[in-house]
Amino acid sequence: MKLFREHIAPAEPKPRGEAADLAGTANMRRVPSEVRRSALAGMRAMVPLLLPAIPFALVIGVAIAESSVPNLAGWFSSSFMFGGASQLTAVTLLGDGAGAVAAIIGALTVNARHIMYSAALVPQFRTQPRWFRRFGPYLLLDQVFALASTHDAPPRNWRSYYIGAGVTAWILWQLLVGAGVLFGPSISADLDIDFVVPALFLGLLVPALVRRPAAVAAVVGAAVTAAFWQIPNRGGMLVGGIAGVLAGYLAESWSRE
Amino acid sequence: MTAWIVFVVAGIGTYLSRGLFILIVGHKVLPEKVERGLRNIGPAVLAALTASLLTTDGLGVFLTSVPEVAAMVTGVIAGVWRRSFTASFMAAIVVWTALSFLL
Repeated sequence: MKLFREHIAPAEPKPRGEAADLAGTANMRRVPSEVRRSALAGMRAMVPLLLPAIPFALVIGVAIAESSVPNLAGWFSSSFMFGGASQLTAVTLLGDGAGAVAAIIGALTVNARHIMYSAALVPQFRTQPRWFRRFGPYLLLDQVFALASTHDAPPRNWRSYYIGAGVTAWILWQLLVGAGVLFGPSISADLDIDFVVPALFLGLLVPALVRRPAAVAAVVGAAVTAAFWQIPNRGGMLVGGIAGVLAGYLAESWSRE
Repeated sequence: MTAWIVFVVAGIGTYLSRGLFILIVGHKVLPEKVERGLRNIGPAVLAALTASLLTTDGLGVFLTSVPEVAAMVTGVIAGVWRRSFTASFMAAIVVWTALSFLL
């Protein structure tokens, strides 16, 4: 009988009353601190990725200030579109007198690569709540994709990391483009730090290539993109990305056989 | 007014392109073959993005030079060897800075 009682007795009796409240409070405190740590990690990871984008943001600001596009509308493109290359394309086309349809198509063509980001992050978003599946894509910048696609964490922490990185990028982007619009051509954006961004992306990518099919996908993706560099608006990236995915898929199939 | 319309419509289009798969199939478990394909999109696209940033400014101008190629190769070797972001990044930056100064 004693054995039976020990067997069915819960290992840790549930606390009641004040004890339960205290235990609940302790749990609540523990979770937010983890979430906070993940968000801070995302913020810290984003800052170096955005530093090389400073001259680019200033160039966009200057392009807005010097074009026929109203300054306020141009600045708001940073929050509506939140993507440097597509903003610059839309502003430049409008400034050159192109029609609205041409400017929209130009901006969306530049952003076509984001469709692949969306497909790549489906496994991570599957475990997220609906509100985040709707809000998350708004923040999906190149830098956010680079960090989020290589960050491995439980769903809640991954979400905090993503939001920390994305919101940091969003705030800095609004400020930098605004500074470009306000201070215009008096700002010198001739800083030769273009190489820093690909070097950062490489640093994120290479250590994460632990599976052979993923390495095959990366090598083929990079090689085909470089071979098709002449396609405008980074169209070579689309070709390279698709080729890389196919190569990775084939490598995975062969390794199983 | 035209500029406001362009930015709002382009903004909605950008959001939809970023959310296309997340919004439509983001909550579903997909067939095993599709899942297998998804696993390789991240590495393929991130590598393609890196190569694109290295080779062109997006406007048809070729950017790659000897210091950049040497730095990237060094970054790959250091990253594979040490399995570390810092090792890969620092190796690439040091080689790029040195060769840019020398050549």
